[in-house]
Amino acid sequence: MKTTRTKNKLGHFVVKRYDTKISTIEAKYNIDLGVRGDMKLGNYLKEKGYPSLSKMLQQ
Amino acid sequence: MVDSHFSFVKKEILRKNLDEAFDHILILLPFTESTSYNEPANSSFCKTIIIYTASIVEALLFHLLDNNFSEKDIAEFYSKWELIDRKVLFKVNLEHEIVAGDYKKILGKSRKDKMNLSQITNFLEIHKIITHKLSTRIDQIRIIRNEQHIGSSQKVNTYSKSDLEDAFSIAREVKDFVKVNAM
Repeated sequence: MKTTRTKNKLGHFVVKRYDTKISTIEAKYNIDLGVRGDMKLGNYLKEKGYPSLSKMLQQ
Repeated sequence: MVDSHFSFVKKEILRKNLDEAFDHILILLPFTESTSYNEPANSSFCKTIIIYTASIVEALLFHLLDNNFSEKDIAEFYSKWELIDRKVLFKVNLEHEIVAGDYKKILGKSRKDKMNLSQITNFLEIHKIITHKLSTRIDQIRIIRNEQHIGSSQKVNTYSKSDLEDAFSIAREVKDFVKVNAM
């Protein structure tokens, strides 16, 4: 099965990062998350009550 | 540039599969927060996320097991003694016989890649690779994950944010542990 994940110039997968902007996710998945678009994914997760997942993103 | 959240995993396929699962979690999570979906739908997203999280936990523990033990170790662990060519010497009663025969150790047929989360956790705990405390934590996510088998379920399970954070917290503990302990 083909993946839709983003790849870099070397063809390696680029994982979602702590500093991915919420607006990027909202646009990609056509969803409104009700927070500022420039908020970072890691901070969003922490704010929403997912500190463990946010921490995993940071590592 | 971050290429993997599991860069300590040297096996490329495993590392990519872990990242794929992690990516799916990050994609699905905002949907649980969206007001576009009702409660049953949100619970359903949560359930899927828990299954992916448990997959990550299982894969990381398998990585730990794979790095520390051979197929022979597994076969030895699952070996058992069997009485072969049994001969009844004396029948005491219907529930008691005195017998003779060859008592032989038969190596187990289990293979690493056929072990489930419960077996992996049990094996690692018995071999003192993981603590009883961590094993108990892992069991928590295993039990929630197994609720996907609804056939024998006695109630309709629903999942919420707290279930997710519990699962993420366990996954984080396992990830931190494997990162340090997988050679």
